[in-house]
Amino acid sequence: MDALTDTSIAQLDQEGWVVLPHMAGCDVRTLYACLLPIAARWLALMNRHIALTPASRVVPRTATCTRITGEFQPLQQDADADAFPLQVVTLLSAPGRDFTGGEYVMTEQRPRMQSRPMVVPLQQGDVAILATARRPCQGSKGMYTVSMRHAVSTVRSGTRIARIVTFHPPDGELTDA
Amino acid sequence: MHDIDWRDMAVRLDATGHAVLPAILTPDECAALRAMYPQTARFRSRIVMARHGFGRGEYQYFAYPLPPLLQQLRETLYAHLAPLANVWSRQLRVPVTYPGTLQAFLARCHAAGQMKPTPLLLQYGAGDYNCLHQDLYGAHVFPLQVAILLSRPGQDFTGGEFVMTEHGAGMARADVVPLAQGDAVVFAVNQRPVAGKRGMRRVALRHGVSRLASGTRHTVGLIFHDAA
Repeated sequence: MDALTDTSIAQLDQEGWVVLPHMAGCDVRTLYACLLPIAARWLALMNRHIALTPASRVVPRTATCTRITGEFQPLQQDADADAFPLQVVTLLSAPGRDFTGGEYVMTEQRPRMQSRPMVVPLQQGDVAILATARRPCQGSKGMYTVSMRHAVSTVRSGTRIARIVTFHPPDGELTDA
Repeated sequence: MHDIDWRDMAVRLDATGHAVLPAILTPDECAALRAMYPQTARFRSRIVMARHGFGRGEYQYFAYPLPPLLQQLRETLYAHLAPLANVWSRQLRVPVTYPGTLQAFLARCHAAGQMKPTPLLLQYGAGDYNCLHQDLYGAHVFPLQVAILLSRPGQDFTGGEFVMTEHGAGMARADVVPLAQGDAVVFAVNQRPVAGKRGMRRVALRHGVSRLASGTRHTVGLIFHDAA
């Protein structure tokens, strides 16, 4: 996939998210295949040994999330440690035209330090690749693991529609190696 | 300042923990404050955030006497915020009442050894950010503070969003406060009361700034308690 350049991967490694502009129509299974080597590298760096489902067998779960004026998504971490470490969010509405507010916010919790707030700058049709729950981080004394939380700030006007894709093994299949 | 709807501000602060006061400073006033950053004699100390794990970027605390514009803003804002601070005290059952003037409140801080001025000028460049934090400097805390954006989003800088988080009983949320140049955001320093099913409960607040994608962003922070 051309959109996942070395620069995109470097941004994903540094921040835990990257925005791929105008990618709403991309094939989810193809995208997953591009994310597999990054996920494998992250899991190895976090010393987690989980067998990753090959692209031919992965089950993408798609949820469409609609929020109207006054609604927000709480700051949460909705996946366990064995989940696929990356997920995909596509913004279907146009910020500033279809809605105001409703920014995609992430916080990065680091050991013994204050959390870092992040705002993922999504335009209509953009795809964001996001760390699901945990990701490896390069520190001055080696790698450490940070914990990521996701939120959508209050929609101040209009309607915000987003599509979230998470990746799962086929039903009944264990993720342990 | 005379155009501000203080009642509306109090209602929004009570509902969400923050309120924007649009165009509280003119572009010229913003430019004058930005131009103070290199004038080191105006400041009592300079903090490089990366050295303390606070983030990336830097800020300087003004020395007394404050620039007249900031002194006047700090006094006026305090006088309009003290009534709400007293309502919050009662709702949170905190045995503290706030006097009607900044001068009287600062006399209390100074008597307790909190003598150093806390108003500050912050400067962020590309890649800089501020971790989620609370501005507490001793036992005496005024529960509301103000930040004023001195730069133009989209022109002087991109990214660098003002983010607030709120943690309550079993629920956390995050909000982005949109600011234009000269806008002030008034927000809760560390906690605020929220109406629950069985009376008032307290939620904890933090604020920070997301990473700047490009440019330079200056803000003024007005904190009403002084520091030990």
